[in-house]
Amino acid sequence: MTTSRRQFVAASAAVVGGTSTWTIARHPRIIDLRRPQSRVAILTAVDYSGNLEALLLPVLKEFRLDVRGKSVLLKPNLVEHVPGKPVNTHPKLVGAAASCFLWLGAKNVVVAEGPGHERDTELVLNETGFEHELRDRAISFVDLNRDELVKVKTKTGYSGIGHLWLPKTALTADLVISMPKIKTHHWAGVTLSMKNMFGIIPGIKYGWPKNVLHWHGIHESILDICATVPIHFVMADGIEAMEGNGPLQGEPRRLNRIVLADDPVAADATCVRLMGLNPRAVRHIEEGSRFLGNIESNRIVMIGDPVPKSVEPFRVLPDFRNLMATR
Amino acid sequence: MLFDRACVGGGWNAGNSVVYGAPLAPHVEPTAIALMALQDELPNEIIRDSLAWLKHRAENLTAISSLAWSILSLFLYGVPVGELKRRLADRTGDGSQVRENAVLAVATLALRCGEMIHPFALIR
Repeated sequence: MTTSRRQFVAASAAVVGGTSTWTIARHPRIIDLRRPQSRVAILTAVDYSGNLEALLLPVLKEFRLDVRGKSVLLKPNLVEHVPGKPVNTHPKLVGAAASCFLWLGAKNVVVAEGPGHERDTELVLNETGFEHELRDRAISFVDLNRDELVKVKTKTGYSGIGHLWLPKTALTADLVISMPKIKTHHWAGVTLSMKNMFGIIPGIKYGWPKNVLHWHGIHESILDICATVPIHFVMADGIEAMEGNGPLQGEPRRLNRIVLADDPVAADATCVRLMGLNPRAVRHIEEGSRFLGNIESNRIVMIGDPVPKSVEPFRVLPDFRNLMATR
Repeated sequence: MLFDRACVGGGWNAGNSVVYGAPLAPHVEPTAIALMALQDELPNEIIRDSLAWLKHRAENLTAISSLAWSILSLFLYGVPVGELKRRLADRTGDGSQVRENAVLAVATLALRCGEMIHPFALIR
């Protein structure tokens, strides 16, 4: 097997991690998913025990999503259960979201994920509380690590991988809702709605922890995945977030926010601003703003609370100090 | 290489054992499979720690695949697995609710563990 210069550069960059001496190579893009204006809502919630449906439903109605009769896929961030660490999207938020989409007239709602570290998905569901939550609400779960696969040509060429084998469930859903946990990430800087889409990559084909894509460049792979399987809506769990050495070994950080958005770039940019960091310093968000969504505040209409003017920045690893510049 | 990749305190996971100075937790299935691969090695600290970790971890498992791999592995090291097999049988039922064939297969092997030739035991 030969390695092209591009693959070598991307792999080297992945190894180097978050150093700021390297930029994403620009590739011709055949798609532009940006809206003239995007909408983002920041909701305040201090814990997961309240009536989250009552909080979410009126705001979801304001977005006027075309949900009626549609199949909805909720994609939480499930990695593995680490006691005491807010690693995964909280099951109560995902359960509440599922109920809301059913009330809004969705034909069906499934929760789907392919955990990136733990091979036994049932174990992750058991120990994170998802099994109980989804059973109580009669919501189905699809293990994207082991779903039926379809070979798909990537719609952009950032990673150089050319095509991806993707789960049929993700490709056939009418609406893909990315539900990330707001966290720092030791390789990507942050992990939000776009990075969360790594979870649709099937472990049965690419292995655990999906290193093939890391070797092709983590930011490049994120861009290719998000271009190929567009995110229609974002519901980010920032009630209890993570700072420091995320996505597994960081420290809990109370943010007390849920972020909803009809644009993944706008969602992630807003989350990064809520983290007190600079979204333009996150390479996949900056590059994504050229074709996946909006990053500029003047192209984002805020529903509900604004981003606070002053935020104590999330702690980041030394490699990502460049994220702490002006927001 | 397996010894080199062992987690701090025993066991294995899907990748690195330490990232940015922070040790990562072991996982059940990689630990069970690694221990089976090392069954013919002379016991050392890593094997002893990993076995102790898996034995302790298995006490509260209910997920079918992890439970089954734990049984197959612990049995090879002479650890009693009767209670684990009872739990696995309870979780598996008649198998009709197990959606993945690979999980059903490993559960079936684990439920017969001790009654027939162990599929992963070295024949000496």
